Amino acid sequence: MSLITPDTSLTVEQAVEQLRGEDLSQRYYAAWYLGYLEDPRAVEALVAALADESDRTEMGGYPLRRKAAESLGRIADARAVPGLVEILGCEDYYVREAAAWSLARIGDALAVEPLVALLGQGGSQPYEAIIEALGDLRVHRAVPLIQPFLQERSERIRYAAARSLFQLTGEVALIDILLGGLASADSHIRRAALFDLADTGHLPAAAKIVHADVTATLKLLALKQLADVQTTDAAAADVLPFIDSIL
Amino acid sequence: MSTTQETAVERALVEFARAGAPAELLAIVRTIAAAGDPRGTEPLIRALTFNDAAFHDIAIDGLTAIGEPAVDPLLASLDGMDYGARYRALRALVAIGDPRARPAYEYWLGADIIPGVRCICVKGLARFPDTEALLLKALEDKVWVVRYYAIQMLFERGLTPQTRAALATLAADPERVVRLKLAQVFARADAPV
Repeated sequence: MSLITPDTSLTVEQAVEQLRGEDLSQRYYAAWYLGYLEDPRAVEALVAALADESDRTEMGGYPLRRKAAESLGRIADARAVPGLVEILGCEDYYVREAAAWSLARIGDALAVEPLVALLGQGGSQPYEAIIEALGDLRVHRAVPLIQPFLQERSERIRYAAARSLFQLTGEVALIDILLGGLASADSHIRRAALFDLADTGHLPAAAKIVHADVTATLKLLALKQLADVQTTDAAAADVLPFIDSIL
Repeated sequence: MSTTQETAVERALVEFARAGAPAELLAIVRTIAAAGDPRGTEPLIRALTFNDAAFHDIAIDGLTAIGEPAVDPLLASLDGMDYGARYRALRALVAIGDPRARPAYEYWLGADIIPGVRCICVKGLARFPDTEALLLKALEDKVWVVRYYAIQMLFERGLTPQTRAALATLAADPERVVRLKLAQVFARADAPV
């Protein structure tokens, strides 16, 4: 969840109407806003927007589809799964990326086969999102498929692989890979590694998050994420003193 | 303050306007911040607005060390700042702890769209005995970190039957960390001394 509060007073019904309307910029805004509201009443209209043909970029991208896919992940309603699985085959890379991200958040087993297939398909793929989704969905048979990505040239893909493999195997050496990312000179890489570390749910990472070279806001979000992925409240409560140390 | 130190601050204040490279400027701001000299207020407030995090904590600490003379200039600067700088200026004000800042905390708690600013305003307001209604209002904030922080501040002031009743409404908060914070605070308040 974002730490920014939008200044708006649209109701869900009004935003759904805007999304179904004609004005492209209003439709895009509505798609974003409905995701912010996280209201399941928006699911049908957002699923319909996944098939939109009117909002195209010069490069052939589908901005409205991307935003609708992302918002469906925020709402996390299982009714969106078939539509999201279908657009894993969309020619727009960013639509596939948003779909993989959202399928992970929804957590429905129907997404597993299509995601495994996409990982093995080759070509230009949103590997980071696919690998993270397979970790979040706890697809243990994906371990040998993800392993080679630890050797990828892209740091972000390597860290995504380390994160997901830790979720699937609990191998502590993988945490060290992520700590390497946290020490990167590139602030974008530090940020990616920070959230990958939080997603592992590895509690000793809390102290590393507190001392990372990132803004206090990012630390707070990462610590909250670390608490949210814990399976028990008792484990999640262990993160509170670290949150308190930032405030 | 020794004469040598005084000369160093004066030199730094002159150099502040002339510095060419960021590294050079950082050393100058450090010197000004370490002096606790009211003449450093203006450059330190400017350092709060720099687009380089390396300056921020140094400037906040420097303004805190200056204390009371920095309060009015800080208050006057809040309006024209972006939210990041405003957040840091409010942190300096809370650290100084001057009661003249109270209306600013109250105003920005209601006006700023950035939760970090609202948190620091909650912290500032928590120091005043008659601000309970404002802290209770912060428990209804849309963003978890403000609710979380308001719980902590109310607890640190000591729970009353009224604050307990208001806090109890957060037992069904959508955010796990908020619910856990609430449980922790109630457990601590109820623990035998």
